Amino acid sequence: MRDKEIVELFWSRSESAIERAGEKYGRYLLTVAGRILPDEREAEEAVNDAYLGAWNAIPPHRPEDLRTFLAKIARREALKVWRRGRAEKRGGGETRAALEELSECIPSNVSPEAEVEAGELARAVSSFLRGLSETERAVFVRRYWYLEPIDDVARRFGFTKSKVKSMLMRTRRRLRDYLVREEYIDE
Amino acid sequence: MNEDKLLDAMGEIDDDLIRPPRRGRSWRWAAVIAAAFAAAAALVFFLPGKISSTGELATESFSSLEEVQRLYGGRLLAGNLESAGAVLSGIELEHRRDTDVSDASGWDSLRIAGELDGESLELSCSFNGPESSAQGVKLKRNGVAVTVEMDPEEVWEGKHRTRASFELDGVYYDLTVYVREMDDIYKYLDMVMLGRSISEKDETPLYHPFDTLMGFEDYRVEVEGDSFFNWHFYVAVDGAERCVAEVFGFPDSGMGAYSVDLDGDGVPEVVTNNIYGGDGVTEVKVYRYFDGDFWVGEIPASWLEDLGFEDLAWVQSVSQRYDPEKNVFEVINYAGGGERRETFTGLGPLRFRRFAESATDHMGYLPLTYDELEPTDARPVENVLGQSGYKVGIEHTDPGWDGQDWWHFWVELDGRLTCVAEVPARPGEEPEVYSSDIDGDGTPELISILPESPVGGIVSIVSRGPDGRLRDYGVNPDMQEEIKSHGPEGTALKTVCRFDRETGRLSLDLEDYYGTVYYTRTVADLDELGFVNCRHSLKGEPEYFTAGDWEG
Repeated sequence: MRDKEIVELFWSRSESAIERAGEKYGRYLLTVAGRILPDEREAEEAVNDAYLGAWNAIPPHRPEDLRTFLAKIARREALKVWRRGRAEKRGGGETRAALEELSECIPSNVSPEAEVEAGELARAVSSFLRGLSETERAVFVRRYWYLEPIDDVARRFGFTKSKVKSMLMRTRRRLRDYLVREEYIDE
Repeated sequence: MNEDKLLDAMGEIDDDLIRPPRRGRSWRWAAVIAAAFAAAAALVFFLPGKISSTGELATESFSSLEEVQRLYGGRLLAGNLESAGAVLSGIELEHRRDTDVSDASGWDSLRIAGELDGESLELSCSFNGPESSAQGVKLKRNGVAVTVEMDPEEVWEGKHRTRASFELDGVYYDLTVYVREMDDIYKYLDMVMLGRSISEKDETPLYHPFDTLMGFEDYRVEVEGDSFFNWHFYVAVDGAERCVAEVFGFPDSGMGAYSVDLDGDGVPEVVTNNIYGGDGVTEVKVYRYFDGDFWVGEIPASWLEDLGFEDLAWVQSVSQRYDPEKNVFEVINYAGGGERRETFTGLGPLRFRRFAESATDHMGYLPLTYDELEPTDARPVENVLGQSGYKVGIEHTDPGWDGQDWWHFWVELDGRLTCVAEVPARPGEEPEVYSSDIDGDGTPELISILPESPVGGIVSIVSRGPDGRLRDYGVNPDMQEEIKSHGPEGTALKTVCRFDRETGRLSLDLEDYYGTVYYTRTVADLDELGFVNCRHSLKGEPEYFTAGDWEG
């Protein structure tokens, strides 16, 4: 079934909307959530929450790219579950590693409470990513959106691990410089 | 702001940054552009005053690679594409204009475009040196040095343009396929090199224990197994790879393979000590190459009977072993409260037959053909490996053995009727089998839950991987121990396999003998299980006949 048809099911509040979305993208969403939540039950819980999130968001949204729309929600839900687990000292893995890496983008003297509006930060990151080469952008997205392990990123692009690590490190530094320059964070 | 906020912000970046580019420059477009340039170049060639009498090329199209192969005369791997099942859309040969197309010395390059296993590919064969220098990962595949290069920017529907380059017999090959992962190129590379896909290699590829394998310098060893080991030795004969020797056994069990010239003809044999039963009793097989073919030799039962060796029911009473240090074959009969030994050297009483790869199952017996089984209309499962038109035959065993019925499940694989599972059941009852896609690869597995044993039900999962090979999965001993660790100490426990028809899930329940369940593990990942071969085929002595007599 085409994305437009599935979105129409959501709009018409048809109960089969979630079933159709699950048939088409269930496995992909489980992969997205599974990278954050190695426990299968938790990953499934996150995916089910994503379907609920989609139900609540469509309408008024009418996503052109349903796959990415659902994946974003699934990622968000999975991170919520992961953070709950982190509070209880469970889990870890790639999400924690990715967070540690991203902490390099935040200068040490920046207060965690320093407020930046979430949407604004997302727009800033998008703008920054558009300034990268296609390869640098693709590697960065695979690591920090898909939370793909560095080994898998290396294999995907046919690079060595050290090349991927160097590339990511350079890109993180450039992101930090960009955020400082655009005054999203103070140095 | 902290890293958590940044991670969240990453999650909300623009959609087009998340999905890969919709379309990259595909080889199809490159071909169109190249054709346009070629057409323009041809126009230039034909303009008066601009024709060069040397170095100009002509292009011929062919309808089949067989014709090209015939004209070439030597080994040309491109022919393997057709035997691998590729559907070809274009075969073009460029040759010097001042030579006839039938004169291979004037050939410049051969370009083939087609589809194989659902993927478009292009193979170019250059006869005058490589078309371009190959950059990328350098490795060896099937004994040949290959360079594999994945282009991260050339993307088509989530797949990257990947090129594998190698040279063989003076021909430079460039294979281009769009794949998701770099490892996916190997399947297509094997199809070009061998005409078929092969199973994944052991983590230590190119295990090379001998200088030559029965006189063949270029050979490779494939090791499969986890709790048992099955070594397969391959050589290339007439451009096609073939398994020419095998050895089976268990870790630290005394299994082994040795290269030794038993008959002094200058061509070493491969002598193997195999252990089939897990009880440490060895059985000898000797592999030979002579008279242009490969043979396997065994010690005949008749020779042992002539020696007066006793054969005990239920127990392997005769052990055969090759001692590499003494270069002697030794047979030992454990019977009558003692043991009796005989030895021989050279080929001795060994009886040889032509070797058919894996004709015997893991127990060393030749399996029954479909016609030898009792037919049945029973349909214990809706499909086997996705095939609803599967066949079933029943083998009744002697109550002196185990008295069970063995249900053999047969499907069409690569055009051959193949037995994919043998499942025991109580006489007169159907076996407990299910079909479900456990690993989510689109092909359902066949799940057999064998009759409950005193230590709990045993599961066998037959899966056909993307490489086309069948694998038997079961619960490996480490997993058994780990599951048991979740139960109370001091209580007799067993692991019972259960399949939920509604959810398609397979679970392992740890329970006591009153039925109290202490722990449940859902099986979702076949890789966490082991290559434990759960199929037990109980037969009498193997019969000797040629490979052509046995049809699987």
